[in-house]
Amino acid sequence: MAVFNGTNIAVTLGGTAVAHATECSLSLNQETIEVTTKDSSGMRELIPGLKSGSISISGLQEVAGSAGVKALAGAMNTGAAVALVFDQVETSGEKWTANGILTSLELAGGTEDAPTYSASFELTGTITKAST
Amino acid sequence: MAIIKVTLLKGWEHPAGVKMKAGETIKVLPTLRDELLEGGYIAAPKKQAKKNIKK
Repeated sequence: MAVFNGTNIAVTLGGTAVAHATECSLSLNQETIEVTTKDSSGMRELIPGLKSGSISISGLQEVAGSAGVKALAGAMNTGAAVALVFDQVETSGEKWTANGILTSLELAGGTEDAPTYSASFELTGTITKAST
Repeated sequence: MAIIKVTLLKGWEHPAGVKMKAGETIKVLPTLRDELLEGGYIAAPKKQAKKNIKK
């Protein structure tokens, strides 16, 4: 089994890797439409509906540099969809590409804790999967 | 896909609307690296010196 180190997964926003990330995740969903009728013999029947996805990323806030939380804040300010890539980076990995709208950005700073950020993007339009 | 670390030679506006300063180091996709190179935002990669191979 050829598993690999999750550290090698990166999320890029507008072509630049989101800096100081510690966690990232991609979630893909398939909605269903119920088409059960009296002829369904008591069993629920479904047909496929809309597909959707989201990408979440969290990490540490930076003092300098613009590719981390500042880029995320920029995406929040513009409100526009940005190009996202969820990339396994490994040569034999897979890469998911989509446009996404930043729907939440949370910054936190606890006493004697490294200040953190977390962001969630809802994907819009086509989600493309390719091998790297 | 490899993500490449580059250093900006001049200010560049990120697609998210953030202005990045000259001297800042960022990790980019190869496609963006090519765009930055074309626009003169980053220096061309140095060619590696060929090793003398003794026959």
